[in-house]
Amino acid sequence: MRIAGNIGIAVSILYLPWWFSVIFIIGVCFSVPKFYEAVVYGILIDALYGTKFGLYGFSYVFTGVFIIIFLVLSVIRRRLSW
Amino acid sequence: MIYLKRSNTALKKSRKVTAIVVFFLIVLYAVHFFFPRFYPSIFYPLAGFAWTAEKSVVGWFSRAGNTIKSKSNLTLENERLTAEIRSNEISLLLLESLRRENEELKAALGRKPEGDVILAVVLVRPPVSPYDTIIIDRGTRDGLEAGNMVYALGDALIGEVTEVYAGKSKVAFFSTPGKKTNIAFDDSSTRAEATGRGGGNFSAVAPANSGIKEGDTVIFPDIEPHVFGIVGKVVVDSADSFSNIFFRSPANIHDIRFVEVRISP
Repeated sequence: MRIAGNIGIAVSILYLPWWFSVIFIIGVCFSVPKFYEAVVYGILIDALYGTKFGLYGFSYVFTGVFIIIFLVLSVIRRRLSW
Repeated sequence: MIYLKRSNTALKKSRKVTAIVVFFLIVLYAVHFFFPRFYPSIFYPLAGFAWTAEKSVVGWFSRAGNTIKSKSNLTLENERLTAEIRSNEISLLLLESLRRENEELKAALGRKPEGDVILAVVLVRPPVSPYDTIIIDRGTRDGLEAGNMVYALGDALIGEVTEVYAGKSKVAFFSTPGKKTNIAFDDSSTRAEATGRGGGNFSAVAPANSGIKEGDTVIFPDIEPHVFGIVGKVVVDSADSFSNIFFRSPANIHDIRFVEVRISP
């Protein structure tokens, strides 16, 4: 599941709209325990597509967003049982 | 009875692994922070191959789709396009004569734009790129430098080159959210500062009595003025002496396949 998720996310970052990658990463963070790779993908998106100016002057939007997604979903995942 | 709690080795191990992973992530981030060109210089050659392959696959499907279009649709489209071409040809005749006259006048005054224009293929564009950026297939090998202006549809100024690698470059659109650019309104010669709103959209503030109206052309003030946008909406508050102007680039940034880059001589 982890490997399939990684392949899917890498492909979506290169070919699919950015919002698809975000949804995909949220999904994988939910289903795979401690999916640290989410942060790596955030850094990768910022490096590949971002500029010094970023969005409203902040260059590391996706790194920040994916760290938050990872932390929030880790907490939610721990408190849920299925 | 009192039992001594056993040390939880599994928990300790898990924490150790987490600490190592967090440290590794911090190192990855630090590399990107201090050396922002490092990851793109590794990933662009790898991803570049994938992007080119993707374009050819998508292009094949697109061509296959066109061949199965109905004949009647094609005939109608052909007629419409022929009429449009005729109308455009008449406009172009006038435009060409004005452009020649403009160039002659500038040459007589010793002012002319410098540099050559090269064509580049867009490998990645929004919405794949979440920032208002595109990646093109030209780089330092073709003479590109950071700061080169980028045009679409021949004369529409859309952005500038921000990062250049051997065979790829990153172009940031002027419509990047929050980015400010000096512009002028062609019909009223009012100058203003445009603020990017993403996706080829801009907003600007100009005096309410400047006479700017919907459909006016926004230009980038330069020795050779370029089309920057078309005014879509002017919002005037009766209590305010300024009006909010909303305009968008004439080029659809989600649909750009080629761009022109003006390189320095």
